[in-house]
Amino acid sequence: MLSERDLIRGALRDFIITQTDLPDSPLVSGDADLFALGVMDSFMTVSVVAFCEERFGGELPMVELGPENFRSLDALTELVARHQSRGVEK
Amino acid sequence: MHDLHAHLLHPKWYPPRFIDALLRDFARRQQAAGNPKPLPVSRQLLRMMADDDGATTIAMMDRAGIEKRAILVLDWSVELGAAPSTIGDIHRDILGVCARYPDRLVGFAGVDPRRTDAVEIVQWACDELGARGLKLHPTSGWTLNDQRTYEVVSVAAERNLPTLVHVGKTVDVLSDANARPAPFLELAATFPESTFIAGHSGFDLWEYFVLHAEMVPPNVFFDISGWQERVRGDGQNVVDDLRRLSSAFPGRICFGTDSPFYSFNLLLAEQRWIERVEPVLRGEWVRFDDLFQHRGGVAELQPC
Repeated sequence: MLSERDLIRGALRDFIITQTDLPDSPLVSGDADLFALGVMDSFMTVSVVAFCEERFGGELPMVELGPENFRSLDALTELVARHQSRGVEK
Repeated sequence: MHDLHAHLLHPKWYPPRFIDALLRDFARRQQAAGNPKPLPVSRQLLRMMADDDGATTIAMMDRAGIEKRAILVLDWSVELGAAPSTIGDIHRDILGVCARYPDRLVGFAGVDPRRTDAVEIVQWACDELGARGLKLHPTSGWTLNDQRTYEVVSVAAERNLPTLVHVGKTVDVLSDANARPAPFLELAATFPESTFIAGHSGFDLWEYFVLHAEMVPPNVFFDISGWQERVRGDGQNVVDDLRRLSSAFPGRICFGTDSPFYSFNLLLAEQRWIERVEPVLRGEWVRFDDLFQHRGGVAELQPC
């Protein structure tokens, strides 16, 4: 049984892979450094914010859009989980 | 760091045509940066960039290590249709935010010289609202060597306040035809006792200044805001260009971000820009006091 966080992490991973055309393998690990992988820049950050708010509802506060919350899938998952307004469709 | 070129953004202060152009420009830059599948992000992007009380800007400056920032008023209502707010209210709002953070934000007035009351607006902004400089954005149907432009610049010059002029490219609903280096240099030469800043150093036109250094009067400074878009690969090209510009004009290069138009108010973007360029001129970046002390100008930066 997947937890809500697993579902969020999976949706985020799928989104990032689709957006970047990266192979899945480096992102499988939730703590992989997205900056070191070259995945996350300011344009991608805006896209991730848009995706999260459309998919999970809620609004990600500006003060939490710092690099620390976009460094890994795990960090992003925690950010979304704190602010989502609706559950993830399985 | 002192950031000599930034703005506050809120849709009430800008014509809708400019906001639409801004969103198109984001999509263009996103694709140019290598994102092959851009999403519709308009709502989130505007929310992220909007700041009408300065709180987001100050929080970003704190975290990024930006000590002071120039906040420049932009006036495109004559060219692009009216913004929701009047030009008077725009100045009152934006310079009012600066007044709430007198140690951090330095407000610059901004008008289209074609306004019949352009001179009065700048006088009022400087004398009553605390503007500490003038911003000109000659990307509309007026020129830098227009008598109306001279009259507006005279207001700043008489008060020993710097004039920052946008030089180079702009968004698709405006034109850079009147924003080239040569007319900017002519304007600066017309007011030799005043300080002028070449906004963005002309973007990709920066080399014109280096190649024609003998034509650049000593009252001209340069800011590198917007050069974020000029970064290629590991960014060495921007480092090399910055070194050449600084070699030609030592002590006259200003750090700038053009926030939030390039950072989207994201700390990541602000930090990366500072980390990329700050070490190149460490200790040699122009600070606000340098501008105000130039050529006998006022000796001290007054709170805005």
